[in-house]
Amino acid sequence: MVDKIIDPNIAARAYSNSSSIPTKNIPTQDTGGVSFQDFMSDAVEKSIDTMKMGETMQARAITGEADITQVVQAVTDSELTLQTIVALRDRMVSAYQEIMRMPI
Amino acid sequence: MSSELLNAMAISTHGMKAQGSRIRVITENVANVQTTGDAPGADPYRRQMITFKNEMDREMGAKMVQVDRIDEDIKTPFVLEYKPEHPAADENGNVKMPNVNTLMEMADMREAQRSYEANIGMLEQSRTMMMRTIDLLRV
Repeated sequence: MVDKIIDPNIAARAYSNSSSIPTKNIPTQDTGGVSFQDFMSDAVEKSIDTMKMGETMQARAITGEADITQVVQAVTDSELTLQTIVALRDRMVSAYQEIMRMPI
Repeated sequence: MSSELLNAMAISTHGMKAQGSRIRVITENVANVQTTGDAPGADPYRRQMITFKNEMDREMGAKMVQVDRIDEDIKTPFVLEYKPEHPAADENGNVKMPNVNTLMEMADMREAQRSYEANIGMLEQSRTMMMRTIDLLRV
């Protein structure tokens, strides 16, 4: 019904794994999985869908069309999605700043 | 890429919806406890019963609860009351009253309420678990 979002479990695991990624041979090699860019854009698209669903359900709740339980579910989904995105963004920005602060 | 916890939340939502329908049916029964037929000897309101079924949600791979049917209770007999002045009274002065037992409806209502609360509890739990996991990302 509601489009699914980033699983926080997977996100947390991926983040903790990222520290152990070897710094040699980073680019060019196809590891067989999806590229980080694809993964991110896919996840962001799905998140946007979830957020839109939350908004649609809110609008339908106001006009009295939607079942209240479905509204609660959609809104909770979008809330959790937003929380996940914000947490991920904060981590990325802080990682970027960390690198920028590195003395060369 | 879907989250089991989000699935759990969707399942709880379906449970809540089903219990809501159950409350609606019970309310109909209680409201119509005095509803008689309109002609002499005519049948009064018949008690309604709700049944549930589980339905596989392929997209989610989870078994959701759904309202199966809302049937009339044809097994419990009508209650006869002696009211000769009533428009629906037969030649002996008896009026058929609905086969609704208010006490039973109250017990059903309480059960529906508790089930609803249980579903809300599960919803809250899943949500809390998700939030705690997201909090791991925040240092």
